[in-house]
Amino acid sequence: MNEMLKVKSLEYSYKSLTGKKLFSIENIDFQISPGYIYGLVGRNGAGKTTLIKTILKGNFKKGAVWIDDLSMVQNPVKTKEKMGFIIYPEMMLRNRTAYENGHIFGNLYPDWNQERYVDKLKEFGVDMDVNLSELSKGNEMKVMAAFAWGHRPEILFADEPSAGFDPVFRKEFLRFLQEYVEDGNHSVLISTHITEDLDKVADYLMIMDAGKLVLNSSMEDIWDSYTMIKCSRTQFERLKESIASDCLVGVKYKGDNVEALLKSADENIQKCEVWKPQVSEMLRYVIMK
Amino acid sequence: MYKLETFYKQIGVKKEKIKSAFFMEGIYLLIFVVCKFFINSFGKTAMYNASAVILMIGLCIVIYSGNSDGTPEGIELVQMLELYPVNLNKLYPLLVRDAVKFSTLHMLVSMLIASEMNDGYTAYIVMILINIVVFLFFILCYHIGLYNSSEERSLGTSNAVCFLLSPLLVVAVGIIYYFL
Repeated sequence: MNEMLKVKSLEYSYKSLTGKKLFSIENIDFQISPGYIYGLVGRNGAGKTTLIKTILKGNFKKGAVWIDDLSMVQNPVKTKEKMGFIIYPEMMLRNRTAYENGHIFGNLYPDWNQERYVDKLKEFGVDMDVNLSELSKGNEMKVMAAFAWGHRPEILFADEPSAGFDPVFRKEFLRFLQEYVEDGNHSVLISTHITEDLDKVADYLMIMDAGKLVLNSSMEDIWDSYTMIKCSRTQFERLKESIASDCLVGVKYKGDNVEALLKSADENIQKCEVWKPQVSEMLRYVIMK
Repeated sequence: MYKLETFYKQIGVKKEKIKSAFFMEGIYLLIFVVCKFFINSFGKTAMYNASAVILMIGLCIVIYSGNSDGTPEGIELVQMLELYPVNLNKLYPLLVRDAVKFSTLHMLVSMLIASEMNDGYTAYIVMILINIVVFLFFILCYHIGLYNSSEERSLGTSNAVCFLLSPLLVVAVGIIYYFL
């Protein structure tokens, strides 16, 4: 599979006035292939936004980022032309209308299409003749999404986009993401706390914890390799003796019952209630580990 | 080809900056008039020093703050554009050019005020000293790694240079004024 984005040994840190390291993301390695939606999850402060912004800005301290085999360090402008973003606070002029912002910022991209942008704004129901400062957070995010549609970057980074959306538009937005990648030439990396959205659209799942990428796998591989089980404590104690210790990713005791995430589960789990893990369960148990 | 200069012109920094500058100078002149009214109560030296401090605060606001209408500038604009496909090295000269232009305007207004005073040189000296302190502060920030990206470092250095150049400019104009 050809990679559209390659991130290798990426490092970035914030420092205090005295030079003390306050927060860092370390040893981040992953690839993004065209045609897929990548979900990025993690607790608050895990480093998701830092990771996205570091890639978008190209201001990493160590490591390398390539887009279509172009190094970001050597070709900052060309590589940024291939990336789009939906982030808040929006990176546009708040004292201008959505239409004007499109014209001003859109022309920085060679493939900018104002008509396509305007059509998307209309489809999203955004009033394009009022200043951004007068729009709600949800509508501002819609402007950013329409802006991305206007220049169709190869990779779209969305940081908590659906937080400001109403339930109706959230559904519409997920359709927008699927539509974005369906031609097989574009990809999306979306960071969100609304894990149900990722259950519906993500092809790959990335989990971050304390500045590190602790899991990066396709949803298919996750469903093949991981299993959620629920059983009684007695059954679980018996099961624990029969499985290898590294098979047990995480466990939660609920009264007399036990819920656990297992990796490479075998026939020993037959007596338990079994299901494929959801994104929220993966997040909870992988981080618990 | 859509040039960065076109973009810079379109976002309206210059137009808004002029409005802000005139607003700032207006406030400064007003403060001066009020201070002059009370000059006998406070004493002259204190007034000159206070005047210089106000001047520097005003200058910092003009250079660093966003405009009243929300048009980003300086570091704010650089941070916004870091995400866009823009060669930031071409943006710095535009930002520095404007910073120098407006700090010069500010200095000229302050010189006008200082020349109204009997001992305007005290104000000059205090002003120059404050400028140098700010310059050293920027250099210090650079060395302790306060700036996260190379762009911020470059911009910090440009601002430091502006702060050093401004008092030199005032001294130069002051000398010419003295001989004329």
